[in-house]
Amino acid sequence: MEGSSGVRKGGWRLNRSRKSCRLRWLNYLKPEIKRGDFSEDKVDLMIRLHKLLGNRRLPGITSNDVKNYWNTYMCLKINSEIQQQKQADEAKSTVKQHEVIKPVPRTLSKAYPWLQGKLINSSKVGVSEEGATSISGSGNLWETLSDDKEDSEEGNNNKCFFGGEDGALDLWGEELNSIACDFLTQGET
Amino acid sequence: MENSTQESHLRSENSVSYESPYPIYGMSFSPSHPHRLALGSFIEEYTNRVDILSFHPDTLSLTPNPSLSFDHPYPPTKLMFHPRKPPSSSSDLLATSGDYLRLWEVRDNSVEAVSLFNNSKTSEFCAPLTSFDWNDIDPNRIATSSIDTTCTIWDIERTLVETQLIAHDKEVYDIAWGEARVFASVSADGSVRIFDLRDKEHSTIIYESPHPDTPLLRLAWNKQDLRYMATILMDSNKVVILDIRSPTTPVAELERHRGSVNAIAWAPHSSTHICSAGDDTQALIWDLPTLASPTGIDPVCMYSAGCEINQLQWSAVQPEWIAIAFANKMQLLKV
Repeated sequence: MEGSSGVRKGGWRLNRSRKSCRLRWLNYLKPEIKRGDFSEDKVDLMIRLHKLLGNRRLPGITSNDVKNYWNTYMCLKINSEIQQQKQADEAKSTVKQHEVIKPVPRTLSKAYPWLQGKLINSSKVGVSEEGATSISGSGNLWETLSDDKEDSEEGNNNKCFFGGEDGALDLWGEELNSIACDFLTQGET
Repeated sequence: MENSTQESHLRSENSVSYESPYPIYGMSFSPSHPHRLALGSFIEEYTNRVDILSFHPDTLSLTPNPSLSFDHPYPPTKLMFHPRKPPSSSSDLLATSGDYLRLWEVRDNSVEAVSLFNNSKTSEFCAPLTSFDWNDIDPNRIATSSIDTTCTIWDIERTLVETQLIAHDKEVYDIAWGEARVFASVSADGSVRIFDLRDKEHSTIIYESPHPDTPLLRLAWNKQDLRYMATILMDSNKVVILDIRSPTTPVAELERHRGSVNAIAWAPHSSTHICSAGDDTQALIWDLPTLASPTGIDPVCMYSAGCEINQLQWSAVQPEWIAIAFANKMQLLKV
């Protein structure tokens, strides 16, 4: 009967089990344990060390204290931060909503009909046929081409690379002859 | 008749020089202000500059305009003026790429930052951009290429992403429009690919470099004949000419440079002329024949600068002038 109370008759009489006495000592009464609220730097240290070490013990702080503080305060703080992040993400997503597309690359074993036709047409008329914008563009491009051709003619007649040396002039002459030859060849065909 | 290389010496009437306070790379001629050029510095730090120069062909001089000079973060990888004349305004629009695509308004006596374009969903930062091209048929579109393997099509007025494509398997180094909705790009994966915005689920590979994983660095689409493109390979003296109707096999390989080629540009007014420049300090102009020559093609003109040429632009408004950049100098060469 005396044994069930855990303490002998005639000494201190405690209505506690051995287990609860040990827990009280480990979590509260041991002199090395710091009492009072956690200081701010301690909280910061707790967060950093938790990231670094996981759930291993911190010196001078019991696991129970850490668990209680975390569940009481840190949960709220972290949830609040998560909430803010979500709001920020929503704000961003309204600004830049776009997909990143990954085209599948192909190689051509022969000429690709639409590409060939489209580009050849473009090279002939100078612009693609695509509606109002292109029509306007077409006008401007034709003007530009006309200007370029005039410049080109001037260049052919009056100018050459690095000045008026005889050699350079001969080069232009050769080019003109070459063009004439091509033209004659086509004429013959 | 086979053309022989014509070497010409520097003369005052053939070239105009400008010495910058810093190394330069990006260059652009303005289509709407015929005597205006933009120059971007190449300082491997955060602080860089963009300068606006005026070219005077009658006195053969280039003068900077200090009130039009502005700070630019990181070296601009590409500079490009708006491809059309704005109908009413006297100001110019200039786009620059680097950490972001940025738009600037160049006024008579000042430059204002207009827009900053960011395509990153998860971050306030954009992946670095290697190059871009302004669509001259639909100037509301700019296409950018990036080291994150993507190409992005931007809506300029709304400052929004119109389309973003994972275009390649590795970094994308250059991009060029062919038509209003067709563009092509080159990559560190060694391929040239064509994309059509009307079919975003597919792309077409029209060339792959002969050695696996040799990056392709630059791409030029012939605007006078859209069947032809030119590209250059890393650490190679070749200029590869492609016919998109005959994929995989180049129609020509120009191999007269004696060092790596750094820049290529088609003539804006001729479908058969192309200019290249490289580490051998030479700028060469080639006239491409209609038939392949068994002995190879020789350039028709050659110019030698003082050191490696990094950048090359052929003016579309004044096609008799070519701009080259080497070290901290820019030179205009008369063709």
